[in-house]
Amino acid sequence: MTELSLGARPGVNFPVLDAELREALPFMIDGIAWDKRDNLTVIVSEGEDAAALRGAIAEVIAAHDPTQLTPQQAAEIARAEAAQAVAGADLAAKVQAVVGATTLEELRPVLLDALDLLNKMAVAQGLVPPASAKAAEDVAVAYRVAKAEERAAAAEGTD
Amino acid sequence: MALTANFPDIVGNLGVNGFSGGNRARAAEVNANVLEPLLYLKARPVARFVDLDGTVFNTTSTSFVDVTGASASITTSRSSRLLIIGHVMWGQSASFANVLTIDIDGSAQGDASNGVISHNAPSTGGIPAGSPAAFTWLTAAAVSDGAHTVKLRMKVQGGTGTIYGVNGVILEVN
Repeated sequence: MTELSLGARPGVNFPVLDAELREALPFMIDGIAWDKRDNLTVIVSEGEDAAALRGAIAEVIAAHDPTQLTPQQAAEIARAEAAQAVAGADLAAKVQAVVGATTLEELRPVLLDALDLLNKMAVAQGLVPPASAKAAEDVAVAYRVAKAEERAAAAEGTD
Repeated sequence: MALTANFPDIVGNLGVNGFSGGNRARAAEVNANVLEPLLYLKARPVARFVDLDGTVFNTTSTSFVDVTGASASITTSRSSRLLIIGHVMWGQSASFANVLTIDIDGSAQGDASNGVISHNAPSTGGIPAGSPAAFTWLTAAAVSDGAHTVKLRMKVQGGTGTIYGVNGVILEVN
């Protein structure tokens, strides 16, 4: 195992760079480390020629795109957004909407809203992965779009 | 003769029975065998490392790597064992373990895999940022008389391990 110190690398998305290095140099690095001043160290695996890998590592760093996100980073953002949506939800209005609904057609969108909120709570608490929450959200969105199209078609028919 | 705060060879100086009843202890003997040890206990070599100002260090490495800033040098007054005590506040991005070991003069002290502490994240997620973990280590044998470098090294089983604060003390003990 050899530690290659590569100096300060401000602006790098280090977890993404770690994934990029592992993809470009499979089984040749054990990972990376960085400190609070963004000083980067690449840990080259035992038995690998660290000096020989310097060029390949430099190429990966040069091609690095810090705007990419790791799945974990994307999930963390999704969790934060879900938590923000839950915190801002008007629960009283949702309950009022349920109470005020008199037909199934009126109740369905209200229930979908409530399920959407439940979904976000689960995401915010890390109980379900954002991907599965997204799948549920997609079903709800598809229903709303279909209903909107139905309404539009009906309105067109009455014109 | 001036006191030097060095720990004397008491048994060598006085014999296995120490001071004997009925004999007058001379000032030099008391100085060397009573005052010197007391002064030594207060003045014996210690060292520390500390960094508590936020994000200190991150790693994705599955082999041990130096933790930036978590090292110190201690010059022992004699061949002694070292006691190392400290804590980290850390986190882990996913369901993997953070592992910490102590290195003295390039020699790892803990278990090759599990270091001196290993903190497993729960299966439902990572280790929350700032979670505390303490470590204590007494060297199995005395280190030689002279200067020694003690440092922390860290690895992860996966994910990203982050140290938000670290604090350690190194103490010469007999």
